[in-house]
Amino acid sequence: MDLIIFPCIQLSNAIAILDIIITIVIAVWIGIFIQRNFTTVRAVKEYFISENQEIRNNYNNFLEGIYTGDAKPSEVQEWFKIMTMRIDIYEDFLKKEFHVHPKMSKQHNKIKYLITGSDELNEQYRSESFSLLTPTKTDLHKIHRDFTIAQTRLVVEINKAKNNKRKSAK
Amino acid sequence: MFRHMEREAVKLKIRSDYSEYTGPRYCIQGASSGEEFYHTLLNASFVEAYQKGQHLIVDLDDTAGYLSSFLDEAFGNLIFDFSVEIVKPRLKIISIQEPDWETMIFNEVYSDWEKRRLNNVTPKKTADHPEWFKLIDNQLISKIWI
Repeated sequence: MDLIIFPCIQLSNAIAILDIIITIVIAVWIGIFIQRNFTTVRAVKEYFISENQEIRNNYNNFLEGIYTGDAKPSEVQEWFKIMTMRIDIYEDFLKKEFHVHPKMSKQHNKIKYLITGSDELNEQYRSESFSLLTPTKTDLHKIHRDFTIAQTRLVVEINKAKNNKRKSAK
Repeated sequence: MFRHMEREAVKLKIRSDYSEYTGPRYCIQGASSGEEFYHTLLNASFVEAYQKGQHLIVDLDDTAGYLSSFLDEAFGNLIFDFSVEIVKPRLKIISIQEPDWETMIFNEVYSDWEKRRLNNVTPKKTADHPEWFKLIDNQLISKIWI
């Protein structure tokens, strides 16, 4: 004899109804909470990735002027100061938000020390523009490459990362 | 020049006490150089702090940035004239906007210029400077050394 849950609903029907209810609840939970969190995290990741791209574009424009000898000596140190603060803030937020290990500032500082410590920049400091000698340019190419690699790796890390706040809230 | 005295430190803020726009390494290369900063301000400020048994706090913030060679020449000369052993416990750097400068000075400038001091590789002077202090056998001596 079938177990009666409600006067007119048999156990098999009750299980089917319960199954539907659970499915609906999970669907709603996925739809509301998971999707909302996913969308938020994705938006935050997109922001960090676009900032990364902005830094890359800004950097490439600046270094193009250095390579071609069009950069103004008097503007170099202020550019580096602004970029140092930008990268430091970017990496600080990124570390707090996601489990990533950015290495952009390390490479950025190497570029900064190479250019601002070069004899070429110091000797041409009063000039309208300055140009680097080939050995310095060769060193710069190498660090510039390492900087670009660090930026690219960071984009991959950001995409793979889990959000720190969601983890710590659990 | 404004050197702000507090109970335990002599303070030197580069923007207000020296220049908002610092220059290259040597006087001959441009205005407000590291060489000039050392001879007009840093040497005397450090001696003042040393004589009073206080710290010298140098604030690098709020300028239009630095060339690493400016900082290398200025703080390197300080090491050359006083040694790492004397400078390290007495010098504090404030560099919130570009914290890597503090790291560079403490890690690279200190060791590079201490080697120069021990090997007696004298710093290049590209202008005439009035007498400045050096610590020789724990005695402060002022003269034109180079």
